Amino acid sequence: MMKQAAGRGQRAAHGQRYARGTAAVCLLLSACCAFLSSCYKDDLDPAALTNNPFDPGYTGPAVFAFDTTYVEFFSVSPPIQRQVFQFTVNSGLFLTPQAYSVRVHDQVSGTTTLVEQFPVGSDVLKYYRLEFTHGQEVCLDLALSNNTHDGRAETVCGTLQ
Amino acid sequence: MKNGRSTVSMCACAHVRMCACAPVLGGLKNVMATWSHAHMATCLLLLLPLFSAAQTVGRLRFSIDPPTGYEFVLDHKYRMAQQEVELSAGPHHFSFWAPQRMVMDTTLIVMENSIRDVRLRLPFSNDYRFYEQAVRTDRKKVWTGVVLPSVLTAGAVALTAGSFVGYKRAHDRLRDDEADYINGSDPAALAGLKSEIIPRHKDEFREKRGFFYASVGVCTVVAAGSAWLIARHTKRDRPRFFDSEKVKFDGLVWVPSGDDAGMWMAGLHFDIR
Repeated sequence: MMKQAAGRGQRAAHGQRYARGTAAVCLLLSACCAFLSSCYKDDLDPAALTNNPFDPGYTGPAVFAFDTTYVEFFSVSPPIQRQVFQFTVNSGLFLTPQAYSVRVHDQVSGTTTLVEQFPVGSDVLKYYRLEFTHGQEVCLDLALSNNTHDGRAETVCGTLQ
Repeated sequence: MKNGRSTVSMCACAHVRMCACAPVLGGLKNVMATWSHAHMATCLLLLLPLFSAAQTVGRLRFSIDPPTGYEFVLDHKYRMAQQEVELSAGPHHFSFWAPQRMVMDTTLIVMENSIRDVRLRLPFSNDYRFYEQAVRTDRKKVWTGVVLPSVLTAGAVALTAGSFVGYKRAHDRLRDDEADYINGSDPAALAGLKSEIIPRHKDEFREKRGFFYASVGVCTVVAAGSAWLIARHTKRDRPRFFDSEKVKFDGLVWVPSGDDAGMWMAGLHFDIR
């Protein structure tokens, strides 16, 4: 009888501990859930993503800059001369180092050409024009290009003296 | 009365033996006769234990259900708890009782110079039956008061955890999209990311976040309700067993002790429920 009563008492105490523990766990989990709900914010705005120079919607500083232009002579038969339009790419604006090409649209001749980095890794690129006139300002539309798609175009002008 | 007759006959026999010794002793006849009559009462008193030992007795051996813990009151006087008793032959009154059982009154006849096996099953008392029923009902309350709320809370927590995983994945997808924009060098891919992929992932993120908030609310409500139910269950009145049969049994008996002094016991019960 005494053992049964003691057993019932132990079971009752155990039950009370379980009940209180369960209640505490329930409340703790609720508090955790409420806390976790504030962890992740919807703070990514596509309209604010404009700092990648390869993005057609790039709104940052100019990527291209005119460097120089001059005429090259090739002493072959018959001799060849061509205008070199040299410009630079500000790769410091890239968010991560990237290889790239530059699509050049010659506003004077109306042609479009893809200029590659040469040597690889160089940010000084050259565009060649076979027909040129001294003293004529040449404007080129330049855009970073990869996979046949172009980024924002910038106009760079230079005059051959 | 049978014992009385036996005592008388044995005393008469002893007296005859004394008388048979007198002729042999010759001159002591008169002295012995005088001694015999004068001390007859003393003779009877001295030989009384021997006469008592000659009482006819028998044994009762009990086989009781429950086998342990039972007690009995013999002839409305002697409270005992033993498996075998030796009693004078004839009918004797017994009141058997055991915890949780009813008091059972019965008269058992002790047979002379023999051992009788008495098999007896004490029925459960009404108090104990009511207590058992109350315990069963109370056990059912455990299901509705503890188990069901716990299961519901566990389900709500699992739902919340699942929705949180979805919420986190949706958020991670947006972070991946942001990383893709930073690392991207394909203008078309970047344009598609901004115009199509990120908006779609943002919609998914809002959907998952809303589901997570809803599940957090549900979980909170369920957890609070469960805590309340469990706390209420903990504070409930538990069934208690009151053995009124024991009170009845303890009513008024004499308990033999080692020094033959014994004591009187009386019980008084006020039902204050």
